[in-house]
Amino acid sequence: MITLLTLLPMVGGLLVLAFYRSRDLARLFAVIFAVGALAIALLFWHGLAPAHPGMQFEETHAWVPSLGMTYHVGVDGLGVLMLVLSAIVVLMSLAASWANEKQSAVYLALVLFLEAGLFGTFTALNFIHWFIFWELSLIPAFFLVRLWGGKARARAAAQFFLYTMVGSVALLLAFLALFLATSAPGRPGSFDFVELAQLAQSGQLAGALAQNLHWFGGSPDHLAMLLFWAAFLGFAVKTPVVPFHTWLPLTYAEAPSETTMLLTGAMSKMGVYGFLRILLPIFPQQMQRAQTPLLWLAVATIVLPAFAAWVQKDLKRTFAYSSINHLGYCVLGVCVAVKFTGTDAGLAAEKAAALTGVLLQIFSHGLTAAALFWFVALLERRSGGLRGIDDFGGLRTIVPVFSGLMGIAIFASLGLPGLNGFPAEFLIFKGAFPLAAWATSISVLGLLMTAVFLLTVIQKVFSGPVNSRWEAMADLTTSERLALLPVIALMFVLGLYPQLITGMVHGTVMQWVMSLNQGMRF
Amino acid sequence: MLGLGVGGVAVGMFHLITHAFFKALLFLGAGSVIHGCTEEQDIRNMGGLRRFMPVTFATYACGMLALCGFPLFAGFWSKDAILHAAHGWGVSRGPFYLGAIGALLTAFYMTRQMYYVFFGPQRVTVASVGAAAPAAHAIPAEEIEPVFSPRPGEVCAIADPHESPSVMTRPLVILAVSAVFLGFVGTPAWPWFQSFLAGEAVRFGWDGFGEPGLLSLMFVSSLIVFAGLGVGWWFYGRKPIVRVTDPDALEQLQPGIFHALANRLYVDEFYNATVIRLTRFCSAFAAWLDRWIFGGAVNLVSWLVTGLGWLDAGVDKYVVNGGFDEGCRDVARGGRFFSHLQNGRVQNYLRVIAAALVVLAVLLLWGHRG
Repeated sequence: MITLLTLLPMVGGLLVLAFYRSRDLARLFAVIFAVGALAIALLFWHGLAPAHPGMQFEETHAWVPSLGMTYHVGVDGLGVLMLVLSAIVVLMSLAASWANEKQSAVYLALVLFLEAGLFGTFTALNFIHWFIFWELSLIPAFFLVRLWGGKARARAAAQFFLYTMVGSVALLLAFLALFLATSAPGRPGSFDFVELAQLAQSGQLAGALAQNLHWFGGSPDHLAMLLFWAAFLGFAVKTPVVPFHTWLPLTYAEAPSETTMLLTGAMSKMGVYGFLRILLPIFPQQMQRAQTPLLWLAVATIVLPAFAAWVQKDLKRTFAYSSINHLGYCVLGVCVAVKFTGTDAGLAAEKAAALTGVLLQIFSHGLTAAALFWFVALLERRSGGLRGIDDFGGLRTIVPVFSGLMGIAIFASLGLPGLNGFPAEFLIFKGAFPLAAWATSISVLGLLMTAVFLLTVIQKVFSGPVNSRWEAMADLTTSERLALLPVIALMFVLGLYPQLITGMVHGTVMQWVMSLNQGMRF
Repeated sequence: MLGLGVGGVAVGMFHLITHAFFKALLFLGAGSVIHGCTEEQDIRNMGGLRRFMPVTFATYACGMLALCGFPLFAGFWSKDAILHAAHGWGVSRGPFYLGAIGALLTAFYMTRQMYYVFFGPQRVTVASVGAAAPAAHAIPAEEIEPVFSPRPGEVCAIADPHESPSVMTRPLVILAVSAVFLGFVGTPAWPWFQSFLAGEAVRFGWDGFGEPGLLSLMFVSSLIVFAGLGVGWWFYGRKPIVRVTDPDALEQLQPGIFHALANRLYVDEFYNATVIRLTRFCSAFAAWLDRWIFGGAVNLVSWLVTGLGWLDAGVDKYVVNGGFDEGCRDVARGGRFFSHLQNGRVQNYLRVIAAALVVLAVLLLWGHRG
């Protein structure tokens, strides 16, 4: 079933390529396959037993047994959430590309390949298998930026690709070390996430590291820490965590807005997914030990980009920084959850709140950020590519429907109660404050600045004196409105009824919290 | 808030309720005035509206008197109860005096506003409401009464202030009635509201006024209100405000204070200079950090890697390849040299052979002799 899901967009991509002569046919096929993928992802959502901890819909086949490589896929609440989010964001992106003639059949095929990469990443449970998809998803993204991007696309694409590669290489080395550490004479080591997590939580992993690896005479503790930071780097670049984020504003700004929707809506979530699927279960003690620096990084990721966003002159760069800031809340939520004070079972509720908030935030930010860049794409198409904050003014009176709907997305982004951003950020802060009061207090500055720069956008673009240059700007067409309607509706639904997601991920979150509290207890 | 602070929770709530009514009345009245003057909001450009908008005027006056705490109006009972609570507060008399000064100022500024808006000659001009105002007739400047002070030759116009439709005035009347009578649910004689909050049975009795100091306090607060109204009249009511451009009476008296107040005591400027400037600085700093430190580190690494690449290429080209090429050249040179030995000229061969023979012969002979 999961295999089918990953294969579907791949086949779709090939089919779209086969119809490259007719863009109309190609886009029709692309959307059909994306809808099909979303349908299957929703079936997983429907079929998932929320109370059941651990992986579901698992498939395991031997692949290269001597190297510990198995074909092992499965999903839990987190996995299903990511699948549905990816499917929604890809569909949104395709809808945004629908009328963009520059984005040919090849473009659409690359989007579908990217979707396959995302599905593979979010379902694979064996490191090598997972890593292949992790890297594979980069390739279509690279070409989407490189071939359809703005003026500085070459530089942006290269920086994006290379920076992520640096992180990936560190990650690969860390896992090779784990593989070596877990291998015994006559038995290959393990690349399996579930198995490694069990070893780590029972304390055997540290022992294995001490026994099998003694590099440079470092103690096993130092070695485990080194491996943790190496793996962390891989996800820190992808998420991104300040100061590993500098590729992002450039890439998001230079990529075509329809691609930026994918990058921010789905691909940036790969980093947070890594935090939750890999770092949290496999390196809990290391995260606990490194909690103070991790919290500083989280705070920096929340606060600095929020400030930097205010002085950007390009709408896409503003939203790019906003994106970093929003993912910072996810990092904060994950980093506070590893706190363990020994006897505090009462903190389990706070950890659960923070982690649930992280999952909500993943979904809600994916939706909101993709929607924001969609609006930027619509604006760019009307303005001939202009998107400076000071290029507009008074659009509220010229294109009221566009301004109203984009305003809803902006308010969702700044966390207005009633829209999807609020329950996510509220839960993260509710959980984080008792666990790390100082970090949470500083992070509130980020919330404040988000409101400041997003309202500045509203003020400069929608309000103020009418810029006579855009007096003839056309408002959203009926089909554009119809395409945007479900997205806006979903923002309200998630804002008013977040149980839709929290109920689904409940079992997964509780399992994390329990294993965290057990894993720390020695 | 003052009521809550000094422990008078019930009276605080009471004032909240009465305030809700008369403040709503005042804002709706203001809306009616603005509507009647075709969206004009500057009270200097109004005047004389009493004649054009009688309902609005009457209801607004009720709201104004209630807000000031004029005896028997709603605001009087609730405000007085708060002042009474403040007066009895054991900790400090400060809040009481502040409240009293506030009441005085309220009476004063409301009087000023009434005179500006509803009394004196009508000063609504098209110049002040925009040329496209519908309810206006164009009149050459010379024919206009001098109160509008148009420049000669300028075509000016007078807007027609008009009473608002009943959909606007009816709520005003309802609220005005409340502003007058609502206070009676919380008088000392019949403190129904306070009892309701406390969950007690209410009882009626004039002895409620008998509480020590209450009557004198009511007298004082009435005096304060009358003083405020009187000062307002002194400044603004004695002679009508004729021209739009006339300076404010207070401005004539105390220009420094007036301008400080007109600029809201420079609070906005203060925030601009502190909080907003600090935020701007932080933002610029964050952007700088991104560009030069974080981005700079990345660029530095990329330059270093590129530099290493060039260095490596240079070593390859000049050291490794250079050494190899030099070696090759040496071999070639050697070959070329040795190739002279067998360049196919028989004469050279014979010449060498002959020379060798001579050398050989000399050596043999030499050796034989030795």
